[in-house]
Amino acid sequence: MNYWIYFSHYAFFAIICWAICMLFQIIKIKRDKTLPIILFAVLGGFSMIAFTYNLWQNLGRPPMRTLGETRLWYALFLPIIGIVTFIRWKYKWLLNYSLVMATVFLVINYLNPDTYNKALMPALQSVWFVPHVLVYIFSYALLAASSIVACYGLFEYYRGTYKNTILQLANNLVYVGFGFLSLGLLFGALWAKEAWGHYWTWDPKETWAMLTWLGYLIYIHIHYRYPESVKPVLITLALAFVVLLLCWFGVNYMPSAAQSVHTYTNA
Amino acid sequence: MRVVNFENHKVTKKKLWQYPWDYKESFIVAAGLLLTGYLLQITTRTSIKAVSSPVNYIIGGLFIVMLLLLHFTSRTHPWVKWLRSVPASVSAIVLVLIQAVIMGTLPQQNFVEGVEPDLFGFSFVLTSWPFIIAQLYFLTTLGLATLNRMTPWQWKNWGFVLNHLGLFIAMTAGILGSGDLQRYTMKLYENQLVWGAENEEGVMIPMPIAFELTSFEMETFTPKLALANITNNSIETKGVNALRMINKGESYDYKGYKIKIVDYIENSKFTGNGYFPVNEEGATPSALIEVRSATIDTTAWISCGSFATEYSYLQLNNKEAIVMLQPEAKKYSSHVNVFVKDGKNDKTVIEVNKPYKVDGWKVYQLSYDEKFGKWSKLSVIELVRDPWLPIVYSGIFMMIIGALYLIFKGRGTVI
Repeated sequence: MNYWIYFSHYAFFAIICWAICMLFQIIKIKRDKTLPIILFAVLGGFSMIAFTYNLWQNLGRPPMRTLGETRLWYALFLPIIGIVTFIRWKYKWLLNYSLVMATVFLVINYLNPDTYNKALMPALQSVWFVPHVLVYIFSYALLAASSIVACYGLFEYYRGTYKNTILQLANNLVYVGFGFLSLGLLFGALWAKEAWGHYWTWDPKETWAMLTWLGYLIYIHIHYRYPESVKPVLITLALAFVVLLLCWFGVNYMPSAAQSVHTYTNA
Repeated sequence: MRVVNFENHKVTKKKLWQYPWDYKESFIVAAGLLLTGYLLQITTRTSIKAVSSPVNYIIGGLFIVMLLLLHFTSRTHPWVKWLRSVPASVSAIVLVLIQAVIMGTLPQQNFVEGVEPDLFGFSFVLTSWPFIIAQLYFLTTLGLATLNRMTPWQWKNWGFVLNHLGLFIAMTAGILGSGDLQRYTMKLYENQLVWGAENEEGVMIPMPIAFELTSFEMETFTPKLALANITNNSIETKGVNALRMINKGESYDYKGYKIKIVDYIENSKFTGNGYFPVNEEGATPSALIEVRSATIDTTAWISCGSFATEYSYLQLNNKEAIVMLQPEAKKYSSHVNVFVKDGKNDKTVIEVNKPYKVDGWKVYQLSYDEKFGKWSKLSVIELVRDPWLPIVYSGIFMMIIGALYLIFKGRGTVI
């Protein structure tokens, strides 16, 4: 049995929940009540957790191999980040952004159904597989959120309504995201030593992962040096995200990647 | 907060090259280093070989002594102050970033076969002058910044020190240690004692350890069924059921066909009018499938074949056919006897992701004869010795704790 055939049910339920959640923010009388907003966001999130759990059970391996499977994890982590930041700092727009992005990932998965594949090559069968990939996806989701905050900040900056809290939020997300990014990179190095005999082989994906890491490193240093500067810092953050996207999607298409162990296939 | 704004203001007013140096000066220096690197590359046209022991220990020692001397004798010199400053660090990160972009985008000699060397070193960034210089600049700024936070020691700086010193140790040891890294492959044929290994150039090197393969074992996943286009020899990969792992008794729909897997035999042989289970070398997986659509209703045996047996597929029309793909490896391992020169003997299993440790060497299962698959009589193992690994790992573990620090305490604090 292929569990992906149930994907549309779970995805549909989650999207409906999130739509209701956003609807509650529009309706005047309900607008100021946060409980129903959180409730429906969480309900949709649970739908994704349930599907991911069942798929994992059904495949008999962690669902982290194909691009479709990683998209599933984004659809799971983004709402979690959105909900947590909403509960903590009451950013409605960030919650909505994360829900919309998660919906986009679900729709992409619906339109490009993953092929059914239980096979997991021996090198990937390691205790490091789950922590390495989970930590990475979580950090990408956080850094994506930070960059969208940066873009929003730039938008406000040009409108003249910029408030310093925007950069504070972006900074919080970057520090946590960068911590996870470092962990992903380091776990990858420890795993590579066990599986391929060396901790760093300059595989194109590794090189781009390091580039992503360097991008956010630049942001952290620039912001640390001039905490009061706004525009250059926000631009750096937005640019760092471009590098991250190149690392995630672009590497497969680069001439350097002909023999990478990291090129995700749909097969 | 006002103070910072005032500083900002001051920076824009000060003349170029007037101390303290800021971003402008840093990026001019970085650009100069980049230019120097390319000039050196063009004039020498070399690929820099990693130096091995004892030269790498001497270089490492000299580099660290130089940093210590700079720090303890000239801590307040404007150049030293600049070298450990954020602008210098950022320019150094950018310099490494530029080299990494080239390395990550263009095909590299050490990674893609058949890449020709070029004048600027774009195809061998790792061993080219611009990259070496960028790393040296990076490590100098990193080392000086770390030293500055470490002396005098203050406990509030522990997060900073773990992150920066960890990176410094891991990177320095990684670069210097690459010259002492030994990586050889050994081809093991069943019941043959092997003492020699091959290096990357294919030169045989006598080893202090010998291996004898008693058996090579492999487990495979069940093969997958796919729809193939026989006019251009391609396989359909789109759709939920495009590549379907065989599971006896299951039926599914794909592109208007109703496919049922009536029977599946893991080890079989074709005799006359069908496949029968056998227990012999070169047996092939086979499946009896039933296919129904508006135009077809048939049942047939198909097989992916092996080195000893032909494959067979079910042709649906003059364009499409149902084929069985070669089974993918699930797990493979070598059962070996190990003989060490000083007389120690051992018996072990080397498996992917489960290397075997002996006498300072780590031994990895690398590959096998793919033509024969699970019937392979050849197992290739890899022997790796990296004496600098403990140093690199100590740096990596410092960075792991540093990363946890960033996650739990990083934001808002000065790191």
